[in-house]
Amino acid sequence: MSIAPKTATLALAGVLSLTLASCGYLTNDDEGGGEGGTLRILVHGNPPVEQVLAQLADQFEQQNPGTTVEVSSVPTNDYQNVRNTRIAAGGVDIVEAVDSGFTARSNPDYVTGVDESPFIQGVQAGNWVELTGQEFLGNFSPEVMEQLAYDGRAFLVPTGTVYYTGILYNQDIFAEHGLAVPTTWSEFVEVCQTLQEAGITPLSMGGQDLWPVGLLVLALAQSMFPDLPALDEQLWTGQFPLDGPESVELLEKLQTLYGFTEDNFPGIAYSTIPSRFASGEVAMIPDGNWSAPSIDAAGPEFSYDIFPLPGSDNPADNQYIGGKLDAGYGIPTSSPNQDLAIRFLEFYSQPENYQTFIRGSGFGPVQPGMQTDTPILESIAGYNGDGAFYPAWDQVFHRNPNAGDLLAITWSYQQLAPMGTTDDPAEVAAEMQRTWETALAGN
Amino acid sequence: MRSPFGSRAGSASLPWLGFAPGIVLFGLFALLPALAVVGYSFTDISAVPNLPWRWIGLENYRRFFLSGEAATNRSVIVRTIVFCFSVTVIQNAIALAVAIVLNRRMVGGTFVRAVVFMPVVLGVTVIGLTWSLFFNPTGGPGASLWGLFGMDSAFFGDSRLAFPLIIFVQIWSSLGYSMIIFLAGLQAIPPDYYEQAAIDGANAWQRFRHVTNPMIAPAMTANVLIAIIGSLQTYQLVYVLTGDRPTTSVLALKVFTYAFGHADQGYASAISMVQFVIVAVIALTALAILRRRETQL
Repeated sequence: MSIAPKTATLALAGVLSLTLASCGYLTNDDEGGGEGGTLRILVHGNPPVEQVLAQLADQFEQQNPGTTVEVSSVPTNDYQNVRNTRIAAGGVDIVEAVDSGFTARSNPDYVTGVDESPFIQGVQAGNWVELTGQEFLGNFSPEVMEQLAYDGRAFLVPTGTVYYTGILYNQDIFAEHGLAVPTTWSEFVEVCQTLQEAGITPLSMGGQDLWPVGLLVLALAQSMFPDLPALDEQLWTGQFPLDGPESVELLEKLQTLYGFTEDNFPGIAYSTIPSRFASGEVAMIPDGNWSAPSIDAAGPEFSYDIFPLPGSDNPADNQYIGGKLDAGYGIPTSSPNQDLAIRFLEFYSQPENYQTFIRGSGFGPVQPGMQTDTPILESIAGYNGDGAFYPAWDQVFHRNPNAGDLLAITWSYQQLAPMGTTDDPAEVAAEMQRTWETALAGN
Repeated sequence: MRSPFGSRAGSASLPWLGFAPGIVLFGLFALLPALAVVGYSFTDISAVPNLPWRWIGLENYRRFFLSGEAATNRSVIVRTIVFCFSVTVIQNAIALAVAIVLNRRMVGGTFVRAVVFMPVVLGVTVIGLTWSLFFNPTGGPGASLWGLFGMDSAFFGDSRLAFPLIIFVQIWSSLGYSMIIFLAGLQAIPPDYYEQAAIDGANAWQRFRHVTNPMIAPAMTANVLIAIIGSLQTYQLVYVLTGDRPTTSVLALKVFTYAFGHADQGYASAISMVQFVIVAVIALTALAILRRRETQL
């Protein structure tokens, strides 16, 4: 059988047309816009937030007949990539700004050779709809809005605060063994030793996911270095040697904490930790207040509280639990539904709706007069003082890309055994200093 | 000689009409992006939409080889090569042994062949989940097995054991593919050759060395090259089993981390160029050696 060239050409053109038509169909199907319309919200994987946003979306739809709100999420590790792709394609209307190293503050003068944060770069590239002057932003704390503003202009609507330099502890186990909440490093070590001698695992954490171990570094830095901004500047100006005694001391304390942690913790997944803590398998976990909904769900009768990890032997240094302002919601300029998106953010910002959001998400509130229903948030407020907020080290430290991921939060907890292969903290510190010096020289 | 494509006027262009879609698709979706990666590696292009990007010369390469993370990057290169060498040698040795055993008439041979091949059809995520659950240090079957010998381990969290375990899982997941290629090669060997060798008094080892070995040389070449290129490009398995850790990371995972985790696509392009050079040098060297071996045999 022979096929004429003309027939083959026509067949080929037909196949290509069908393919292109299919692509066009898929693209058109995803577009929103118009009166009512479809509002697309993209968040990173965080079940409590997804659930409460879906609840608010239902209410918004009821108040705005003809409007559909789609809340979708992607795993945290993939979020940034998916979000950027959907922004570029005009396929999303409200997103979270949760880039690694998120900050709306420009780099200080002493930080040289480093690009601004991806959020600021996005603002400069015109990717975000400016919200300055929107009345509903006045519902939020002015201090928080100032933190989120770039160059005095607002682009984000806040979600809340999270705190993660504390230790969650099982109150029943503490009471059973007559243990008081430790306020110094020595007391904390004693508590751990007492628990260990009683056959109870003092600490556990999800080492498989790496970042939960990093929380210990942030907690130690919070109490060992009371002036974190000064530490950041000293590091960038070469005045704080990472192989010096203070730095090595932090790594030694980290090694001590590793010793009190459940065997084989580097292979344990973080997702299993809240439920195992709630079942009483371990006495303490380093974690953030975002875990409260998961712990409460796993053990409704479980009694737990939080205290700042006391990294110093001076109780005055160990008073605060550090944290950060969590993701803010922004509207990409590529969104075809900007008016609808602003209306949803206005709805979200109303005190009664924000109250719903705070209760469901477990975040600390950033509007006055909110009730949290989360006891550990009340405990945190008790430590930090009413309305006070202390940024954790990862929010203060300016990461140097030339130093690589190992120094992302300065102290390389991944190299210290059993997370890594080096048993000697001084050796890890010396390697950190070599890396940092080389990185600074290249900036 | 008569043209295989016929002799009618105008029909000489017909084959090219058939090739054209493939060539166009290859050019658009493979060649062009590959060339673009070379260009991107000299820029600071990022995944932030609408951000202008600049030509920065060799800065990304300087960062990889000379910045603070250079020592880490050197470890990653060495680990990538160790991974490639281990997987290629062990996988092909086991696959050949299994293929020789399964090439004999045996009860249940087809079933065993299917079992060995089964992991090939599983997705990387399924494989990762399966082995993560098996080696879960808090109650996984692997932990119970270790416990029988009075031992325990963090398995994929163990800084010394994790990488050998990843090599094991990679071999387990690809073994069936290599085995099938060897089996096809073995089944193509005429039985007469073995009969002739047996008549000449050759023992089992001599039959393998002088009959099987030269006859499966093309299959060996194919398997070795597939294993080399596949293992040098592997990142998914490492990603799902341990994430990007300093004790398990490989070059392809670094490319993924910087391109999609840090949105630093210019730097990721430079790392992928380093990876490309390594893949090309190792694969071309292996190809030259294997081709010469085929000729000699």
